[in-house]
Amino acid sequence: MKVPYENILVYIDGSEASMSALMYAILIAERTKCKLDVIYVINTKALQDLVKNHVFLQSESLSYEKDIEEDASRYLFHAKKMAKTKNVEITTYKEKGSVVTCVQNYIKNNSIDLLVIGSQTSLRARRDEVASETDRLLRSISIASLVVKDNQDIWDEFEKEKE
Amino acid sequence: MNLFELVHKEDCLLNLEVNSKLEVLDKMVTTLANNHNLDKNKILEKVLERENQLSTGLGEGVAIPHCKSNCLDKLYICVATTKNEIDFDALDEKPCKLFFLVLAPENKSSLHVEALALIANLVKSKINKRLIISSSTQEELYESLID
Repeated sequence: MKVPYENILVYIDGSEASMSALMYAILIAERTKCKLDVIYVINTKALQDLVKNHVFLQSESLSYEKDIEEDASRYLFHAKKMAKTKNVEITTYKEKGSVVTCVQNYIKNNSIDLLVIGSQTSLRARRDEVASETDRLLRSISIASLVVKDNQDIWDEFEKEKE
Repeated sequence: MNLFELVHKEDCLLNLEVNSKLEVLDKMVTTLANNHNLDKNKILEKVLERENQLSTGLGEGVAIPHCKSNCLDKLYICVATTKNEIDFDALDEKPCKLFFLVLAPENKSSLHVEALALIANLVKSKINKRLIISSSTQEELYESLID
């Protein structure tokens, strides 16, 4: 691991918070010239669990997986376009499995030094921490992480610099 | 993502006086439709379509009816407890008393899956279930979900 960092990974899941994290990471990469990778994980582990718990039918799970795969491609394409507006080169990566495992593996195999991730609201249910993918990710990684609060200022800054 | 972000207090229904699966689904869809200006008929049709494939009564008194629809702009969740136990054609053939209706737009499958996973995880615990079902006010029901 390089200190402070050279290789950044941002995790996106389609939520507004993760898109804020992406913009923030692009702005950092633009200014620091760090390498930026973007990962989207198709959470097939959650899908399998929903089938196991009888929330989903097998056919329903497959249909959702296909939809999420299309979402992933769309969001990663969008990420590339956003980075291009700042002349930042990014590598996008789509993976299937458990979010925590996929991100951990990516960090390990690509010498990532900093994980950028969208935040959740500060007011939360204690029980949710057990299930939330972002919380689990933050607890399980061994590198530095940056939690980006979903804030209009980030969107404004990103847009402003584009002009 | 957490339930606090997803559930609104006005979408929590306590001790619904209903007697059938159709009635409980109708009440829940109507609540979301009225509170958020949604197309009730279209959504109810989708929810029933999914129920006709296989009941979303998971067993142990809990059901998580759900559907995707292109008439939705974001994720909506209605939580309800019923005064009487309702035959929901659950897998364990036991009646249900706790219901989570999850509606999602077509293009947000990932968030829909995470919301369902959060709820499935929440109701795995008997203590959580008991806390929610024993709520005596709407406020208490809402707090039992988010606390």
